[in-house]
Amino acid sequence: MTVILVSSDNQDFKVDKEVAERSILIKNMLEDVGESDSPIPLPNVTSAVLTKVIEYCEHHRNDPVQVPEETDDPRKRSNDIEEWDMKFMQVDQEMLFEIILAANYLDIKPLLDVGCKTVANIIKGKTPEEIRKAFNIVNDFTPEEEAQIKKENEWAEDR
Amino acid sequence: MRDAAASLDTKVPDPPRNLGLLVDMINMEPKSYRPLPFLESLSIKHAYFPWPDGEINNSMPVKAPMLRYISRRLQKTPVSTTNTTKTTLSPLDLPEILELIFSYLDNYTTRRSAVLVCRQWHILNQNRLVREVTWNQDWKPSRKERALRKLPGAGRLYICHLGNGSHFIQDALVALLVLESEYLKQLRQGGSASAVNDNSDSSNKRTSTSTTSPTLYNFTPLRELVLYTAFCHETFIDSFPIPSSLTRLTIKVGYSHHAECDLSKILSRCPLLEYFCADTFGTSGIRFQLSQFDSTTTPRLPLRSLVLHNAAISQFELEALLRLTPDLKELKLMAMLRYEGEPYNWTWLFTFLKSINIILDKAHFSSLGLKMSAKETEKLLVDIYPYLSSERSLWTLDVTPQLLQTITSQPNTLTTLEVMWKATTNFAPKTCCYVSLAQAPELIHQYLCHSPYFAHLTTLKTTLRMEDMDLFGRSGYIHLDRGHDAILPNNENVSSTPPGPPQIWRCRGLRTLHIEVHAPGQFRLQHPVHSRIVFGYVARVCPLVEDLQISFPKDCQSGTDGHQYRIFPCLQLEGGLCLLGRLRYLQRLRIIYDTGCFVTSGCKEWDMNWMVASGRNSSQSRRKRQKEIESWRFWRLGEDRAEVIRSQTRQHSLETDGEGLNAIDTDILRKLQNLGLLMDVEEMMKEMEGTKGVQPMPLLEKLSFTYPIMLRPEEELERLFPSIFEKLRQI
Repeated sequence: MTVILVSSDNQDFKVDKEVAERSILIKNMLEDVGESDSPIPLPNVTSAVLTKVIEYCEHHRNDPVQVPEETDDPRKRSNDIEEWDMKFMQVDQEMLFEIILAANYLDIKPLLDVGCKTVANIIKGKTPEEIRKAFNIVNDFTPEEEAQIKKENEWAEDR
Repeated sequence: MRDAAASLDTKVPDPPRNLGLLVDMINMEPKSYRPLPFLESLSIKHAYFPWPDGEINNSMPVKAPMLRYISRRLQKTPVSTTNTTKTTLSPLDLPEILELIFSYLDNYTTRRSAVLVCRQWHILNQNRLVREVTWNQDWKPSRKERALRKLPGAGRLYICHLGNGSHFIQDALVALLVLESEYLKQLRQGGSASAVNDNSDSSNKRTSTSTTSPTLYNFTPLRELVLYTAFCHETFIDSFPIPSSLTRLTIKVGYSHHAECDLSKILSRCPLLEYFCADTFGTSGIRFQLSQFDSTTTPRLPLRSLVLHNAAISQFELEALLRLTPDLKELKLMAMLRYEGEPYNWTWLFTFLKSINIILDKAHFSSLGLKMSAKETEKLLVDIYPYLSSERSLWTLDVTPQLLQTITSQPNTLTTLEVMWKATTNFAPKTCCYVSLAQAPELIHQYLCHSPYFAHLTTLKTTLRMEDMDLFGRSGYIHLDRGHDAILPNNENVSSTPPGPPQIWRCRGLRTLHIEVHAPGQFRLQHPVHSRIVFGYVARVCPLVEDLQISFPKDCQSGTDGHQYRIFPCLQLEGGLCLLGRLRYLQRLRIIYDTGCFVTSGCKEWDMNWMVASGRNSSQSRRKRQKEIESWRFWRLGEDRAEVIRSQTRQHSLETDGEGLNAIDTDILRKLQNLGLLMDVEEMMKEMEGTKGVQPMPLLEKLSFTYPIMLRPEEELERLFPSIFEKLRQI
């Protein structure tokens, strides 16, 4: 069975129901609506982004449901991105952000995770100024505050 | 349903103008949808709202509770530089997504970069900045003093006590008593546990400079203590000033001398304690008592995890404790010692747990030197196993094919497998490891190689046989070792090729690997080639490992002649420790040799200092290593000749081995083709010290060679090889 997804720029995408249901939002909608041929409008996802999202869902259509990993360490790893996913995420920053937003909107947890891991990997190894520059973020600290936080963190290290 | 919809009235702002799908659903014929399905999912499942496309160009869905916050933020705070105006929403504007991104950052990035980006990033990362303090008795007085000055506001404390007696750690004890007094003072003053510590001058200075937000560290009470003591006499633990603010307490004991601990005193003293672990390495263990509990008057305890390793506790008192811990999710009683001669009745305990409705996520029950009875195993499978999470912890003596099958038939995907084993005594006559370990290492290895269920393992802690890692049967290359230069391998040894294609573990996504390597077979783990096999196998088969611990027992029992012999892991260059340098994600490395601190005996500084930049760049060390590799020339010739002889007699080749394997297996098999050879070490050294200069273990943060606490790599190497000035100082 197939479903039709309509992007914000009114482009239709015919996809297998199994693929579309990688999105929990769509899955819940289809369960709520029942059997219907009506196209599903996704007014927040452009055709370019939806194409990428469908590509991801196609590739991962047979993946098992993600089991949350139980660990004492609240920190997760960002170095375990699969090779295919890594290549998939090799897009410009604007598209990366659009994919993350779409994954959040459509509730596709594995795609959201891999997007956030990619952003985390971009952050790693950068200075605060480089991060601000990379993501267009305003430094709203006063110079005193910035110096204080820096000092506290240096002091805290076990040297 | 209506209640849910009504409750949303107060939470959700004016309806968005572009309702998207919701509008379509509402416009549908009544028969084709259930009433308010969207609101149902909004209330219960955190579903998403389409965002109005009025004020911003891009429409944006957000979780309902965040709607108003983000609406305000978007209207008032353009997220842009001063030069450009941002017109589209970024995922970095959503705190939930930011939280997810931050959860993937390491401590260093969080502390040094993320918190300094902007206020929002600083605030969202505060809960991740738990400060650790380590106090090590071995350190110089000035350093110990410096560590204790940082104690106020620390979230986690490691104490490493290497002496026999409290006087060795007197200053740490005093600091803990002062800290406790301050904490109690804050509680008495009506502040919460997060009250500000005002006892530290440095804290005051830090606070005074901030006008907009509390300082990062001056409000955190100590939540976690890890106490290591090399020797534990009768009352050491009971007299230790354990801080009452703790939520996690771990006590590790090297050797105990009739040590006792009143667990009820600790639990009464620390009303917030959720995790308690006591681990004794020596076999005399700790004897736990629960003298202060009365099940009718003692309030329920928040304990969620109780782990006792090599300890003794009265089963009656344990059950009394369990009545007070309804939230318990982890109960591990490992290698337990008899309490006053009484064995544990596991069947009874399982029934009891069921009767008081404790359903465990993680569990382990074993008695030192004993197997579970068939009845106990059956009860375990029925009453405990079906409810466990994705972790299994087994006792080596209980491992049977039937038990492993029950694990793999569980619907949950296994991510953690722990197979515990402990010798019954550290002194002669020691338990025969060959008999005691029975078939477990072989069975576990077989399952790791064949069962698809083990492909998902991320944590593996088990005992293994060196021969299972020797994929190409090169254990016999012992004649190539130093001192045997003139002797070429004889045909008998080089023809020991395993009969079938190599078997490799399927769990190649392992992040945590703790193994104890035994060698009960024909070849004893006493020669450099054996160490090369162990290190080389791990480096190739588990490329993602982050936390690696390799233990070598002091003695091992040969299964062929029954003799007990000493194991000698080789950490010199020819032992191939540098092969672990291929582990790109390794953060923690611990090598344990059971005889104590002499695992690096015979090693020179340059054998190991390639782990740190200074040692890799030191021209003297590089020269020494180069000279050492050149001295292997004759061994290499012998090795080459042995390989030629083997290739003539070998029934299978890499090409035929690859049949039936997937592309990844074949690739790994190809990378493993030099397993055990000096050539493998030589190539690794070339990679490290050649023009490319590949950095070995680039993420390594902590290192230990049979030392009870993990130190920074530079510190651990300095401890092992003190500099000339340090040596002079010690004289």
